[in-house]
Amino acid sequence: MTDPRTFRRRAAALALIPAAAGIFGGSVAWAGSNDPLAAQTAAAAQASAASQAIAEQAVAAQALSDQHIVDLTTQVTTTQARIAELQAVLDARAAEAARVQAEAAAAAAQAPATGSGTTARSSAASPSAAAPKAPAPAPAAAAPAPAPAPAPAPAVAATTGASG
Amino acid sequence: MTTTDPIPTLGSIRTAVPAVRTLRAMASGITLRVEQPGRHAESCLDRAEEVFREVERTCSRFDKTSALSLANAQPQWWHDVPATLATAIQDAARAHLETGGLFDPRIHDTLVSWGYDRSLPFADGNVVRDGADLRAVALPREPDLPTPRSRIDEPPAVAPWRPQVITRDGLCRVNLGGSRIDLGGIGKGLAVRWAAAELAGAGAGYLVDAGGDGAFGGIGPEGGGWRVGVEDPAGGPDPVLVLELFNTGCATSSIRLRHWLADGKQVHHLIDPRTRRPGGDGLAAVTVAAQDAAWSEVWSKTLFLAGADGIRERADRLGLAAAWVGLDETVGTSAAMDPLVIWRRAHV
Repeated sequence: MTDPRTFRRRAAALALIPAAAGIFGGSVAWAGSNDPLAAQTAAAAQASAASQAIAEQAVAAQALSDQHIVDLTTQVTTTQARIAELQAVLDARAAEAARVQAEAAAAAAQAPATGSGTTARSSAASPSAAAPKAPAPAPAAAAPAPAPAPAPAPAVAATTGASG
Repeated sequence: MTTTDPIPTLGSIRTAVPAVRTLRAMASGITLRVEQPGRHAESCLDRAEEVFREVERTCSRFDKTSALSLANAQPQWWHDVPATLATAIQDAARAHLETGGLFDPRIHDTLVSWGYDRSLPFADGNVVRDGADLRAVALPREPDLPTPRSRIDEPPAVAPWRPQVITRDGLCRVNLGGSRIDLGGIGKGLAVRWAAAELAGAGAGYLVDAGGDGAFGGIGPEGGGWRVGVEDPAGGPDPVLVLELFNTGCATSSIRLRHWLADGKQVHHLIDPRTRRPGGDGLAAVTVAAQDAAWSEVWSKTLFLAGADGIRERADRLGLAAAWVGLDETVGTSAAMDPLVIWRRAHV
């Protein structure tokens, strides 16, 4: 026959076994997850992969950069040529406008001179009478709009012709 | 004199600053230009320059020591010549064949009889050759030979030229067929062709400009084709046309400079071999853009001889991209040339 006290002691001892096993297993798991050596290896592999990726990106970026510089220089050259063309067009238009303006000014200067001459002759014919006010001269017919200036020749790299 | 622009380097990529070289050879100013030059552009320019020097050494009739002058001295004999001259004679013979005799290097004797036996100062104007300058040159007679196949539908008025060229083990021998020859025009065209080949890999684009003869490859300064002005033979700063050319040759035959008074008669250098007289009635200049620079030269000269009345029909029939300026300053273009024209002077 078993003493009831002994029986309880045995049952308690048996119950402690899984608890101890659980505590041991948990400790092993914790230690594994906090192994500094394993953590260092993983970090190194990660860093190596990252540096390789960065190097590849740098090479690709360099190639892109070189091509980009070529593209940009080509664009700059093209744009400069275009600016020169547009400037030439603007210069031609400005010259044409100046010419038209000069012609109009010359015509305007001639018209008042003619009017003054007429007025003077009238005054001389009747010096005592107040000269009737001369009718306002009819406005000069609007000058026809100037033909658009022909486009200047684009810049050329070479000219073919007689050699000598 | 040779000048070369500095070429900035930027690692392995090409730079936007063109490499340009100018020189004088074959009685013409020469410009060589490479767009976006690569690492080897300078050596390519060196070789292209040497091409012009070599052609001038071997194919000039004005240098009495050149291989051509030595062959011309005894045209009925066989001569050992440099490969450059042998190739030029072969190409000239082919051009003579394909143009039905309208391209004929045997005009040499006519030019000499008019006093054009040396490099004359045409750029100074008013060249006069008379009296002691002139000497009669008897034209050699040749046996009648079968008519060659040609692209021109007109029968040749003179016996065809049949030079012989033998190339073996790197040695070249030629027989001019008894006639003295002038390779001036096609010689320069060939020099342009060969120089262009040297520059083809030097950069993103290249230009060989020898005045009346040129070659244009790759991209031009604006990034597209090469813009080339067609000179107004009457003078003036503006061109009559501007062309945009892509990978092509271009040549102009013009009488603006090379004309003179010979014994009181006005003559020029574009001689019709059928009449032995100055050809191209009513025309001042003809420009042709063909794939090859030497053939551009051949066809511009051939079309010039059609005169103002016949040039459009001949150019369109041959499918040539041609432009011409008449003595009356009218400008015409063939159907094949029209797509290349990007600008015309307003009143032409």
